[in-house]
Amino acid sequence: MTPFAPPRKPYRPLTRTTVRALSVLSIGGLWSWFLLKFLLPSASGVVELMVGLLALVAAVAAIPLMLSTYAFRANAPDGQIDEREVLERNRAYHHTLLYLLTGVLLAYIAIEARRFVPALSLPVVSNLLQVLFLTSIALPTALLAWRDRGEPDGE
Amino acid sequence: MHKASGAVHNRIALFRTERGLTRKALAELVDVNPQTIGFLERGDYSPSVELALTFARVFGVSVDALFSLDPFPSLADQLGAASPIDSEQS
Repeated sequence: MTPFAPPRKPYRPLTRTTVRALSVLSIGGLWSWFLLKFLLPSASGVVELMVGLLALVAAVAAIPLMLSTYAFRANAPDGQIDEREVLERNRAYHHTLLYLLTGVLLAYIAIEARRFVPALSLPVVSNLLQVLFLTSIALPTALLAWRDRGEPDGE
Repeated sequence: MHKASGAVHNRIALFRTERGLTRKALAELVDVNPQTIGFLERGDYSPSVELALTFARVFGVSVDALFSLDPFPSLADQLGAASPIDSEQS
């Protein structure tokens, strides 16, 4: 058992629904940005701008997400969360690791496939790695929020 | 190797109610998040030996009285078994 300490500033006690919505905006926004940029390589100025705005929305949504109490639980040292929370955090990081390994494998395949698929240019692979890196930072927090069953803090 | 199945039964809710404690108050006594008390009471989480011993100390009972690998008999069954009226009738 480890001592339990409530989250300190700057972490904000956002509701589970808010954190879930922020996670969809940030992680979903980044993947949408990547896919749209990949599928519309020669988009016109307006479309390019809209796709760029998607990445901006994702980045802005990631700020409150990473300042929520779920982010605290995802990143706190063992001494500041209890043993159940440590277990949940470890599960979230385990799934994030699987996500990252799958993503890196995809990136390697994309690098090799460039010989046969010209659309998989180096900037595309670079964008894929960027999305993988940024989403893996937010994923443990998102997983904790999506797995939370909304148990009230008291009675 | 014993496979963790999460099937550790407990009487935390019973003892907590009997002592008139809220989940939050009990959580403070055993130094965990109040949500963890809910997980334990529902049987969704099995505590470590250290946490089980802390609960036993807080309630002033043995670990056996609080935790079991087998389901605890219901209060009605226990009262029925102990009732002298029932024994006389049988």
